[in-house]
Amino acid sequence: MNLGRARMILIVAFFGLNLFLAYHLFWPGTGKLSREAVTPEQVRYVREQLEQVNIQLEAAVDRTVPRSSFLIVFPGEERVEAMNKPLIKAGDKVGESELITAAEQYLRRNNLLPRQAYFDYVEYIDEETMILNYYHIFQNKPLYSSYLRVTLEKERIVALEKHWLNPQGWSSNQENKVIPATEALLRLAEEMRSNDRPRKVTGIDFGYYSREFDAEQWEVPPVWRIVVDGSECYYVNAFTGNLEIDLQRNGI
Amino acid sequence: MKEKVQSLVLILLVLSSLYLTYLLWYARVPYEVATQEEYERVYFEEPRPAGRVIAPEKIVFPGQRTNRVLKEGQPGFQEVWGKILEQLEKGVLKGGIVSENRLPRGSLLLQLHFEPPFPIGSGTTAMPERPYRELAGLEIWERGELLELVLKAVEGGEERGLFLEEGGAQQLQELLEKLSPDSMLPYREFQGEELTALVDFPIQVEEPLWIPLLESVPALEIAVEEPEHERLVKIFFTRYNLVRRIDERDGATIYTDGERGLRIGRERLEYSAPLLEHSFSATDSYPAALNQANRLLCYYSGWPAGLRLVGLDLVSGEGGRNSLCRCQWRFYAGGLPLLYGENGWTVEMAFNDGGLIYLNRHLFQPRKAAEEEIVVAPFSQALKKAFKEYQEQGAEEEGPAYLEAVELAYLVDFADSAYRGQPVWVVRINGREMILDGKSLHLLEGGAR
Repeated sequence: MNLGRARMILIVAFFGLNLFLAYHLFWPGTGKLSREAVTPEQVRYVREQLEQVNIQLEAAVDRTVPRSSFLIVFPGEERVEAMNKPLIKAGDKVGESELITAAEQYLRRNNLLPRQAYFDYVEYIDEETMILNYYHIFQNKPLYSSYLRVTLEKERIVALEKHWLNPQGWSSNQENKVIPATEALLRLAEEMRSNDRPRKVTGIDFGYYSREFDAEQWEVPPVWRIVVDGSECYYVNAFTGNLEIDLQRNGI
Repeated sequence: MKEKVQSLVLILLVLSSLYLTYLLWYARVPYEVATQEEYERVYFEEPRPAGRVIAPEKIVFPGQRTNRVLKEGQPGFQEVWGKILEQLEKGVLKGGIVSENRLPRGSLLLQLHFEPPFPIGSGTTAMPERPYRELAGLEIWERGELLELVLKAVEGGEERGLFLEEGGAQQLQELLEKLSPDSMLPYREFQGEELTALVDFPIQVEEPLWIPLLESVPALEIAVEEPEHERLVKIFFTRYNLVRRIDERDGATIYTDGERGLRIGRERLEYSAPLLEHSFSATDSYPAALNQANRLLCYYSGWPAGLRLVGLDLVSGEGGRNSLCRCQWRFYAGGLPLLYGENGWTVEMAFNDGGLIYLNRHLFQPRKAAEEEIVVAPFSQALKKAFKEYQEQGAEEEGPAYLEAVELAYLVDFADSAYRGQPVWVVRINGREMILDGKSLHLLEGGAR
């Protein structure tokens, strides 16, 4: 290959790279790599703050700062049902993942697992009992207030709890900036300042959450969901930075 | 030459890609700057002048046997109170200008009863040059051509020897002359023995009881305010674009930012910010609490004519500090209070130094008194009926029956697709309140509380 040809290839390659970088820097609404992304220093600072309250940050921190608006939902399906459905033949031994697959196959066959359900985590109650948690995905965004919980005991499905909302779309109000994930983590550190045992942040994700209301319709705010020790969830309102509280319990 | 240009372009592209990578990695608009947004400050109205926060519970014009009374919501009430307040705020009261002995003994022109107390003296706008005190009452005596003020403090005792300035005294006299006694409410003070004789039941009163002697009251139309949701949201939430909406099944709408909530129903609105209660303390100063109540009511709810502050309590919390201040307001129409809700207040509020914790405002307002007059049963019959109920409830076993209040009022009632004020007798014995239909004297549903 002659030098001139190599130079041309490099020019084309770097031109392409420049276009790619400029697109992510300056193109409005790209979202992924916006100019307001969180810096590595900020992540480091948050990590130190959490460590001061005995919390290790093990989850990857989303460094983007998206924009969002409220999600409008209507009440959907409410179902709490006791069941007794064996998932495997008596005497067979299977691992956890096979058991989950068998449970999901059964639920799908019986139209109990909606297509929009996304597997979240397993909650262990005791050696023989575990709960499979699913949440609702609407337009690629998690709606944590809409969920399905399936209780397995000794390779059987013994209970199903479905609280499935009917999301309609986004509020027509203008989109607002949301707080970065680091700010939500700082809010958690503040909330858990009296924590005295070692804990871990195992997940921090962007989604939508509010408690349920006895209403015809309501707006659900965007939240940062922070998962501590695998199954304890905190929801920080991504607009206000307030921890989402149970308004009814607090007298509102 | 061509090779040199290619090399230069390549170097520029490499450098620019490095710079863009740096920008992408490190450079960002500070978040605080990015989120700075401007919000318009929306509120109902400016606070009232400090002296106008408290209005007298009643202004009494003494008579031979029956007294004439002016109350909130009656023509002339605000004018008389305004003129007296003006004199108190001018601070030109003369003391010791004449020898007390040379003046005639004089006669009582009028009495003002305050509930809650009216603060005067240092730190207030009324007689600020004098020491601070809280008044339960104020009397004006005619002594020759002069008008003497008698201040009655909450803790007891009275102060004499203060005179209205001549010009002010004359203006007040002229105003009083214009008032027609017929437009005032007839009231009498009763002792326990008189009341015992009336109902044939041993009644005790802690102090003489003021009871209205009305035979009829005007029919009253009630209007329901149509709440402007958008404006209310902007008033209660500074960052109103971050407030979400919940449409309840009963037609009410809740707005919340997750920590505070505003519920707008058909007949009332409620606001609550419960987290504030434990995060801040409340003032110890009564005048400061009045000022804050005034400011919050005017900003968040408005203070229309006819609405009177009827209660203010400082609630103590942990560590000997006050945790919050509670206040109540009531509408008056033609001098009679309007009752609705669980406890009859038009507006209830709680606040501390952190701001408004709770507001409950009914959306009813007296519209106008119709021509029609509704005859009401005499108070003696209402009293008999109330004591009969009291006995039937077995309450007499609780001990001596202290009669605390006998009041005529309007109860908001919904009938024939319209709200109206239903005249009622309200009798309170040992803290037990009974609401009786003004005409039939039937105990109204939920009327005993």
